[in-house]
Amino acid sequence: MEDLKKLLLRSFDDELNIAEKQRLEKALGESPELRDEQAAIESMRKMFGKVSPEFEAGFSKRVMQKVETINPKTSLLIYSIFKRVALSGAAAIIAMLISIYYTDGSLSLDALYGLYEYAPDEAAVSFFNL
Amino acid sequence: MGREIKAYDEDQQWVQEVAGGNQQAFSAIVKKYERMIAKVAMGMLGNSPDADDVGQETFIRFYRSIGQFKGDSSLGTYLSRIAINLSLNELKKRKSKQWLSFEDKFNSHPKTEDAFKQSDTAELVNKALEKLETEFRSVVVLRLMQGFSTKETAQILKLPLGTVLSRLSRAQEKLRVIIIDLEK
Repeated sequence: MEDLKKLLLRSFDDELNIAEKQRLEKALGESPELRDEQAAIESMRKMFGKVSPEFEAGFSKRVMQKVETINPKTSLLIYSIFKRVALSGAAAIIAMLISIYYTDGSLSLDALYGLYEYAPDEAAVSFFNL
Repeated sequence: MGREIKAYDEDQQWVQEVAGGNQQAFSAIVKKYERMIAKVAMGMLGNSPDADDVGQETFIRFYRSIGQFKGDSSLGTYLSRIAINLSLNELKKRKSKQWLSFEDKFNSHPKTEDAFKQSDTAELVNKALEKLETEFRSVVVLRLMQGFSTKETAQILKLPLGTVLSRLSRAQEKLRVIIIDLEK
């Protein structure tokens, strides 16, 4: 019976295949308990569908009052400028990395800092003097 | 089908006007979708000022990011997705702050009781939803209260269809038990 109840539940929201539909129909025809369960679920679903809670009066006015302080054109402009700056920045970093790799054949930290010509102690002094 | 296309075209027209700075068009969108968003926010959060805040924030976020709405989904679906995400964030905040329970919130804001307490049915639904875990509550709110298809529900929640179907079945099993218990 449990698997029939699961099949019944599925029938409300899912596509049953032909065999499943036939099995369910047969079971509904034979079992008053299953038919009661079907009616109870239908009734419960209708109940949830009917409920229509509302915001307190003046909701749209409250939204519009807040919206009046926002200009979508400004927001769009800021967004498009930010996007361009971010893309330009990313392009500059990639170009720099390509340049370093082309020049030094490596993207090691030494290559990035330009300290590969120095001995380790000289590199450390140069680094901390930056 | 013809009516759906007409509604879609109307929404697209309004969105274009809002993007051009027409606030009256935005007011029309708010009025049209206020009830839909109320169902989502209040279904998820119960009868509380948080639901009203989430409802307002839903439309404000939409307004701020109007340029990002491309019309791939219907406007109702798009707004519901924002509302559900904001509601889920609010529920996470409540858990982490160990906020008052639904029931306590309901009682601590008596002036908001009227909004949901339209009938015994509404109260029963509210109490039943309160007892349902978040992941089941969201599918019930979208599918049973809002009437979205299972596919639309899956799109809004960004879940596989199979997960939505499984959660719906499980949610209905739980609700049957909860409602029988509440009606005693």
